[in-house]
Amino acid sequence: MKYSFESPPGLKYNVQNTWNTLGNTLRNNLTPLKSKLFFNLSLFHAIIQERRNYIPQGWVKFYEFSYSDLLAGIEIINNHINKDDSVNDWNIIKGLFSNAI
Amino acid sequence: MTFSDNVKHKVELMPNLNPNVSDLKSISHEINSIKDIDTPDMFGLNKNVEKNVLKIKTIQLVNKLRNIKNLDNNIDRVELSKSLCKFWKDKFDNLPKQSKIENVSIDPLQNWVVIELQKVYNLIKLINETLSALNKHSTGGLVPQHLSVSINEIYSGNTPEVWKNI
Repeated sequence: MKYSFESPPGLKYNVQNTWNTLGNTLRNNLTPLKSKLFFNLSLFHAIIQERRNYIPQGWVKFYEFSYSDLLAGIEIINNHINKDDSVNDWNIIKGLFSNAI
Repeated sequence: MTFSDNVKHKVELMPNLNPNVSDLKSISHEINSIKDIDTPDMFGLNKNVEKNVLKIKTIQLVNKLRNIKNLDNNIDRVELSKSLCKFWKDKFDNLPKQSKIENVSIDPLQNWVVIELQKVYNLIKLINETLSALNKHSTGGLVPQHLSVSINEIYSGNTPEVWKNI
C-alpha cells in the first residue's frame, strides 16, 4: 500500500506543518530569543513558499525554497545564540541569512 | 517580482500578528491567529494579483489548446491533460456541485432561472466527470465508453459535443 502526505495549502498550515514536523528540534532548549527567531523564520519560510502561488507576479519562476533551507536557518540560530540567550554579533547571523541562505 | 504599495511604504503585512513571541504558548496562539485563507496582501502583493495570475494561466492554457492542431499524433497528451485538470481544479473546483431548489415559485421568470441554474450545475458535474476521466486516461487508466468520446474530442482540440448539448 502506498500513501503520500501533502500538507494543505495556505500560510497558516505551512507554519503549523513546520512546527509539527520540526517540533522536537525547535522546542529543545527554547529560550525567549530563540522562540522569537524560530517563529519569524518559520513564518518567513512559509511566506516565500506560498508566494509561489502567484507566479509570475510573486516570483519570476518556481524557486526551490526547500525544507533544507529552513533547517539550515535553524542551525544558524542554534549555533549563534549563547546559553544565556544573548548574541555576540548580529551581523554574522544577518550575513549568513542574506548571503548564504 | 512585484510588491504592493503597502510594502513600498513599509506598512506591516500582517498587522494583527505579533512577532515578539516568547514561549511555545504564544507561538501557538500567533499561528492560530493567522487567517485560514490567504490573501495577496499577506504576501505584499496587490489585491488584484489573483485576477492577473488567472489571466496569464488562462492565456497559457488557450495557447496550448490552440497548438494542438499543429501537433501530430505524438502530442504530449499527459501534459495537456494535467494542465487542463489543474486549471479546472484550481479555479472551479469550489463551485457548488448541486443546486438548492428550495423555494419553488409560481413565478415563471424565477422558474426559468432555476431551470437554467440546474443546467449549469449539470454542466459543471459533467465537466468534472470528464476531466477526472481525462486525468485517469492520460496515465493509462480505463475510462467509461461514454466519456472516452469526449476525451478524444478534447485531444482533438474541440469542445465535447455533450458539453455543448446541455
